[in-house]
Amino acid sequence: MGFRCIQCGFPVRTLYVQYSPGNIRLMKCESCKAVADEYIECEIMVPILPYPTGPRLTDIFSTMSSINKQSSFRSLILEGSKGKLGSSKGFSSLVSICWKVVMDVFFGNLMCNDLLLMLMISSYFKIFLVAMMVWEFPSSVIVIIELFCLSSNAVALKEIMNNNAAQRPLNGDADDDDEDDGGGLEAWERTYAEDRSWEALQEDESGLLRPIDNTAIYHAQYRRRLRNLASKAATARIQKGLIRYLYVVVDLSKAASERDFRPSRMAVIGKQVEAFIREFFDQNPLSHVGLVTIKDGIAYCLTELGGSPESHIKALMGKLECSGDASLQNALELVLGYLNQIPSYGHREVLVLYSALSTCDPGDLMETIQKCKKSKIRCSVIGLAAEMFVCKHLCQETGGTYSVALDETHFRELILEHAPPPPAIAEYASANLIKMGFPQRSAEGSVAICTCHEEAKTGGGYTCPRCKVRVCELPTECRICGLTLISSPHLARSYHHLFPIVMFDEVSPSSQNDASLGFSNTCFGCQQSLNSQGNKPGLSVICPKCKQQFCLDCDIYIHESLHNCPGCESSRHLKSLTASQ
Amino acid sequence: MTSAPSKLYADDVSLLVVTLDTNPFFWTTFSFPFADFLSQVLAFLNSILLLGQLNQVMVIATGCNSCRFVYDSTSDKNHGSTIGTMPALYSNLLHNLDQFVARDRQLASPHAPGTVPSSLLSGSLSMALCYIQRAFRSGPMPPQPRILCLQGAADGPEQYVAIMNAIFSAQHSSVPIDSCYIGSNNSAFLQQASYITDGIYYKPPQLDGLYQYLSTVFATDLHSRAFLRLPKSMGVDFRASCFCHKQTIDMGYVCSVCLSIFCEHHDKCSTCGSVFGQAQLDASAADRKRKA
Repeated sequence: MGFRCIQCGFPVRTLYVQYSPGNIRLMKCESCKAVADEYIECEIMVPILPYPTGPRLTDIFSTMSSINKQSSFRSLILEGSKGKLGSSKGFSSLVSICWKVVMDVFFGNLMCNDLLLMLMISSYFKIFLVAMMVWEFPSSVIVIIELFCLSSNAVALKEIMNNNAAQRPLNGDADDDDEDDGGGLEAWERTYAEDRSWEALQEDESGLLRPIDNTAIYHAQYRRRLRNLASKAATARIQKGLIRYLYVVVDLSKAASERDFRPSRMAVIGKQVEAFIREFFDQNPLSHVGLVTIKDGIAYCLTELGGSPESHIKALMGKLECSGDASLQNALELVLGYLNQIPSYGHREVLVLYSALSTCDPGDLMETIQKCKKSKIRCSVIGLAAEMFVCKHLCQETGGTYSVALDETHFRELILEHAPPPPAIAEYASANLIKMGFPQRSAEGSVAICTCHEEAKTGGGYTCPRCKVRVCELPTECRICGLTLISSPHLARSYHHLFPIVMFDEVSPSSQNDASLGFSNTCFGCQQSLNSQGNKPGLSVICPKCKQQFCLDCDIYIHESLHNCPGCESSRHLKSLTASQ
Repeated sequence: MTSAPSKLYADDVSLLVVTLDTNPFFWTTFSFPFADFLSQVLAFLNSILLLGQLNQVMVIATGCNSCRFVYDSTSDKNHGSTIGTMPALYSNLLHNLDQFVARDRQLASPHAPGTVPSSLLSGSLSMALCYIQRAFRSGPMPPQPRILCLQGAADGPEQYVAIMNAIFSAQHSSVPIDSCYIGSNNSAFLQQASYITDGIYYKPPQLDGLYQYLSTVFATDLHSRAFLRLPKSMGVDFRASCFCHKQTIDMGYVCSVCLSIFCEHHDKCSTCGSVFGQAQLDASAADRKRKA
């Protein structure tokens, strides 16, 4: 092994000649006539180096001294670890990052001492450089060591930054913190705090905890609602718009992502709209629903008017994302365009579920409201935030209802109020005879191609009486001849709206004890004893027609689901009376 | 059975509500005596109670002028006290039924001679559904309810709306309505009831073996039904009959206000009195729009 010139690499016999201690003469390279190694004078390390390879030495030196400059590398890696890894950086951004870190250091955001200590400790790989010099590793090892070193630096820096971030709020203003965190409750505490489950308990006389008996309160609320409906029906002509064309407008603007409803307004709306659509078709089998969403200031038609609940629900659930502003005008204009095409006997309705507190419109909203009024579209709005004048104005002008939901249960109540047909206003839809077909179910074994799915199906379909094509389910509209196809149960499903049962009268507990009235003290419907605990009579109601007594649960069931009074139905005398009336 | 009850039911416990047709006008004109019918039904009820210790049976008598609960297997009165040699079930049920028939006769109103007035099926169905709602309220795991209609008299058209209301309510709470029709022709109401609520409609061809039919078709609980090949519905006629001539029609006109069905075009609805001014005009306009 011999020495080589650092300029041209030509082998030289010796680098210097020592005449006396401290007095040396550098040798010249024979090929390039320059000093073979000029660094030999200035390096302390030179004497211990087995062979002084100048450029390598300088290289090593520069890395050693770059500890001070390394913040630039470090910040580069730090930015990378924050998620920008792989994005190419220009020189200017590199400089700005360096500058940022340096400024951070200077202005005390990062603690100087910590930082230096961290750098020292995390650069422990540099020790290998010494070993490298001793054991003559190839130069590529320097790069490897540098990489190790940088990565450990990066990890350490990230750690220290995280620590800083975590500590800062503690040192910073604690007031903010309290407001954000819901009174400083833990997450598990909060779930209970929202339930307020302790309020549903009360202490009885012996000190035991019992759930509050709120059936009476619940029943009172229910009766109030029923009375409201009855009075409404009495003032208007008792006609119901049974053939409804309803557009549900769902606001999917930014405001729908608010989390005041759990988990978010949008999720609550999705869930309740699903329940509403099912209930709506249960109560109005002859009606049609379409879905419109507002997003980014534009209204989109999600589904066209149709009679199948499943397709609407599926379409809505696939599109539950929100962004941008809400535009009431765009939604109304879109719906207006669609609803103007429906036949005149149908009742046109719009139900807007509005989360936003503003509307971002291209024109004059008041004009659109007047247009809706002229087209006899009944617009109702359920707000999720706060009352807005423009919504109220819209509902007043078009004869709809405006309400603002307090919480999820209230929202559910409000939206389900729109499921039963509203009292029809005579001039809103003209009476008409509609031509309808009553198709027969095809025989089990027959094979036919259905028009709705365009597939061959065996049995289980209906045949249009006019054009004899197969459809899969009822009610629907024949795709070929446009005839409305229904079955008689669908019509029957709507009859209870036309023949509602009377409201039952409340019986006071005192008159119940009166033996002269001849109360049996059991509910006529469910045979439950009307005497609650002890001998104290519970609340009960009585049908004004058949004078039969019912418990509160049966009262609610009879009016909400059954729509028959069991007492009146099981008495021929009364039936003939009502029939003659 | 495709019904998938969303509620959680107690395992294998059935609540069977039976409506029993006691229409005297029907039974006097029918070839099969009521006493034979009743003895077979009683044996059937007993076998339901024997099939499961926790099974419950309610019996509602469907009279001509009134309806009433006549037997409740859960009530305390039915256990213990036996009169003479008869078991408690028979004695209580027969006693209540006696009382009921006597009371029903007192309430009788005059009707046209020669015709059989219909039984008040709508009333007993409504009562059965109210009782089933009570069972639902009773606890977190209610017995699985079903209704069995033992009907003989022909349908009463005046009960159509009420029966349909009861059927839809039963469908809503997923209570199947089984029907065993004794009379001579098929009952359209019960066919629809069983079809809509996923129950079984069956008309026994021979009444002498009624118990056998009842025990093989109607005794199994809802879970076991999935494994049996029970009589299939023969195809229910859902065609409507028009209000003006009472004819069954394929195509007809429906009043948009009150949903009355007519077989031909009228100018005025006979039910609600609405005037159909521009009916034809609008219909043709709508057709034209559709074509365009």
